[in-house]
Amino acid sequence: MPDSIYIRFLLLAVVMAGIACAPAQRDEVVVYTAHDEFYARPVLDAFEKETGIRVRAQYDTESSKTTGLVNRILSERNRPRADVFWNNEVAQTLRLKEADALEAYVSPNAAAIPPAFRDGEGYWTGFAARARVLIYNTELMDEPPASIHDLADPKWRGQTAIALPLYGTTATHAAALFAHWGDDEAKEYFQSLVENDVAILPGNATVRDRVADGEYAFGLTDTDDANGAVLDGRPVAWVFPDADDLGTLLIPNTVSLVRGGPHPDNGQRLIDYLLSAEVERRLAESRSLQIPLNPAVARPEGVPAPDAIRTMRVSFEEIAASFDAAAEFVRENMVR
Amino acid sequence: MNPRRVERGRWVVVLPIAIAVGVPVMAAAVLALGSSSAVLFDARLARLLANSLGVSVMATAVASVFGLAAAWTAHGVPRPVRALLLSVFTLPLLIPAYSMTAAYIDAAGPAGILSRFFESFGADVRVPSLRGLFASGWILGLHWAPVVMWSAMAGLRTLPRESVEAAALARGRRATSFGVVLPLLAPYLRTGALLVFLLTWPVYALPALLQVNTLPVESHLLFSAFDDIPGGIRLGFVQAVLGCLVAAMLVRSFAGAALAWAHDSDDPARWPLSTIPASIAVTYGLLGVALPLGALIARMESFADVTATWNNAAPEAAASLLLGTGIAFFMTGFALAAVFVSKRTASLPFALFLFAPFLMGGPPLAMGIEAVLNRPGLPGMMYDSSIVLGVASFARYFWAPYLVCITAATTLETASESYAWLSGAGAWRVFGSIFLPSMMPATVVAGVTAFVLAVQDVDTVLLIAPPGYSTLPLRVEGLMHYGPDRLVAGMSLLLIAIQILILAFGYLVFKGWSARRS
Repeated sequence: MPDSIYIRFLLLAVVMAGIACAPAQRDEVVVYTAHDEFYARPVLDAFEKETGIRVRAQYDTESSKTTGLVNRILSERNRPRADVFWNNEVAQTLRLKEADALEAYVSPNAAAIPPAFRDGEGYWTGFAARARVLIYNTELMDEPPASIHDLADPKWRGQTAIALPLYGTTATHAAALFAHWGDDEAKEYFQSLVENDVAILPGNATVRDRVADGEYAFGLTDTDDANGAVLDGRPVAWVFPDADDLGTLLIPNTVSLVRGGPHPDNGQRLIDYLLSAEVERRLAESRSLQIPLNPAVARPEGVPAPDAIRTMRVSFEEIAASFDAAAEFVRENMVR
Repeated sequence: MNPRRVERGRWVVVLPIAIAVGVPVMAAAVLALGSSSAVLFDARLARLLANSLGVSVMATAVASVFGLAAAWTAHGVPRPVRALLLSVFTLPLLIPAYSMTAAYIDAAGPAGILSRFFESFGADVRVPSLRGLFASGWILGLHWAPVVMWSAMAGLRTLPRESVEAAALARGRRATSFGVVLPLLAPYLRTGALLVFLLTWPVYALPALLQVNTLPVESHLLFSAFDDIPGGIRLGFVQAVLGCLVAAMLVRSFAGAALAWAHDSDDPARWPLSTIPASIAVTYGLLGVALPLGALIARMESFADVTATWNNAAPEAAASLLLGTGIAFFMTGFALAAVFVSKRTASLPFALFLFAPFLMGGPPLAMGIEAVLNRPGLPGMMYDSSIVLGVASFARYFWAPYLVCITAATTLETASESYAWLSGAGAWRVFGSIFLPSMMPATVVAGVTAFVLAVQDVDTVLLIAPPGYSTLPLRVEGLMHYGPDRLVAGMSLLLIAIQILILAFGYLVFKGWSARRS
C-alpha cells in the first residue's frame, strides 16, 4: 500500500461517513416529556413492553423543565426529532400550538376526558392533573397556611419559599395569576413576595425538601412533590390554598403530536396509550397522586375528584396569553 | 524543518480540526445576529460579570492555596509516599463538581451530617444552606486544585539544588521559601492559576445548582426560558472575548512551565515538610477528598444500593465510558497529528481559535452545533446519535490535548526526525517510530486530560443529547435538583470509578514506555 497520509485519512472519512449515514431504526417513537422521569419512565417502559415499539424518551432538565423542552422543540422545527410531546402542564403546550409546532390528532380515548381539559381543535388532550398546593412543616407551624397571600405575610418574612416562576408549573401558576388578576395586581403580588424575602429556589422538589428540612416554614409546590414528602415520613403536610376565594390552580398533563415528527403513526399509538384509563389509574396510584380526569377511573383513597376542589377560574388560553408578560416581570425582578 | 510531504499534508489534519472547531462557532455567530429582546450592555450585565468573576477568582484562589500546599507537602516526603499523596490529592479532579456539590449538601446542609453531629451534642447549630458565590467558588476550587498542584510539582522538580540549599544556609528556610523558591515557582503557579480560572469561567451546571447567576447561567436562561437564542449566544461571545484575554496569558505562561517536561531532574532540591503547608494539605485532603467521597459512599447504605445503581445506570455508564474514550482517542490523535505537521511552536491565534468554543460556554456552542447538524439536507444520524456529542466534545475540549502536545513538542529534540527524513523515511514511519515514542508522556497526559474533561461534561450535552441517549453526568445533573440521594451518589461513584480505570490504564501505558526506554 502506498505510504500516503491522504489515502488513510480518506478511508477513515469514508468509514465515519458510513456510520453517520446508517439508517435509523424504524419501529420506534420519540417522546419529549416534561413529566418527572421517576414517574414517566415506568409508563413508557410499559408501552414499550406492550407494543414492542421502542420508546426514545427525552426528559427535561430540572434546571429548565418544560420551558427548556418546549424551546428545544421550537428550535428543531426544521427537522423535528420528537413525535409526541407529553407535558406536565398546559400553558407551554398552547405556546407550541400557537407556534404551529403541533399536529391535530383526536385520540379515541380523548372522548372520556371532560371538554374543559382538551383542545377543541384536537391539538392537545389533558389527563392526570396536579394541583398547586402549600406544603408546610408541621414542626414549625401549628396552623396550616390558608392562602398564597400568606407567602407575603410579614409574620413569615424569610421563612417561605417558591420555585423560580420561569419554569414548569410555577411559571404556569404565575401566568395564571397575571391572567386572573391582571398585570398590575399580579406584579404587586410578586413584588410583595420579593420584599418579604421569599426564597426563590431552583424547583418544586427543592421547595419540598427545604420545607421538610425545616429551613422554611412553608412553600408553594405541586401535589406530587408534596405527597412524596408525606409518604417519606417527613414532617410536612399540605393544603389546597385559597379554598374560600381565589381557588387552587389545577394543572393537567397534556399530550400532543408534534408536527413533522419522524414516526407519526407510532406517535398516535403512544398518545392513545397515555390517554387510557390504565395510565391515569397508574399515575393516581403512584407517589405522584395525579388526579384522574376520566370520571370512569377509580380514584385511590386520598385522591380528590377534580370537582371536589375549588379551582381557579381562568382558562388555559388566558394563561398562555399572559405567559410572556409574567416571564418578563420575573426575569427583571426575581432572578438575582 | 519539516519535509514538503508533511507540509502538503498539513491541510489534511488542520482542515478537519478547523471545521470541527470553527464551524459551530461561526454558526453560533450567525444565530447571534437574529433579533433579541435582551439588552446586552446594561446594569444586569455588570452584575453577571461580577458574579462570574467572583466565582472564578474565588475558585482560583482556593485552588492555588490548596494546590501549592499539596505540591509542597508531596515534594517534601520520600518517593513512595509522594506517589501515594499525589494520587490522593488528584482524586478531587475525578469527582465532578456537581457530584462534589451533592456530597457537600449532604454533609454540610441544614439536615446534613454536620448538623446531625452538632445535634448529637445537644448544640443548636444550624449550618447555613450551601448556595451562592462562595460555595460555588469553594467547590470549583477544591475540584481544580490538582491542576495547580501538578503545575507546582513541575516547578518544584526544576529547583536548582545547589542554589536553593546555599540560600537556605545563608538566609534560613523561611526566607528562602519566600525569597527564592516561590519566585522560582511563580511561572508554574501562574500557569496553574490561569488554567483554573479558564476552566471555571464558562461553567454552567454548578453555579446553576447553587443559584449564582453568572454569564453562562444567564445565557442558558435566555435559551431555555425565553427562546432567545441570539441573546444567549451574544452573552456567550462576551464571555468568550473576556476569557480569551486570560487564555492569551495562559498560552504564553504555558511555554515557560513546559521546560519541566525536558528537565527530568533526578535530584531536584528537596524541601522538607513544614507545618503550615502540611496543615493546609491535610485540610485539603479532608475537605476535598475525605468529605465528598465519604458523603457519597455513606449514601450507599448496603450492597443492594450498589447493585441497584448498576441496574439503573449501566447503559449510561457504558455510554460515558465509550464516549469518553472515543473522544479522547480522536482528540489526542488529532492533537498529535496537528503538532507533527506544524512548526512545533504554539501559535497564539490558533490557540485562541481553539479556546473560543470552550470559553463561549456549553449552551451557545450547542446551539451552533444544532444549527449546523440538524439540517434537512444532512443525514439524520449526524444529529440524532452520539455523533453529535462527539462533535460537541471535540469542539469544546480539543484545546486541552493540543496545548499539552504542542507544549511538549517545543522541548523535543528533532535531530532524530531530521535524520530519518533525510534517509528517505515516510511520514507514517517517522510519526510512528520517532515522533510518537518521544511524545509518549505527553500523549498519556493529553489522552487522560481529554478523557476526564469529556466524560464529566454536562454543559454541552445538556441541550443536544439525542432522545433516549444519556450519560452519567446528565443523569446526575438531572437528579441533583431533587437533592442528593442514593442514585446520585451511586452514579457519581460509578463515574469516579470509570475515570480511575482509565487513569490506571494510562499509568500502565506510561510505565511500560518508561521500562522500554530504560
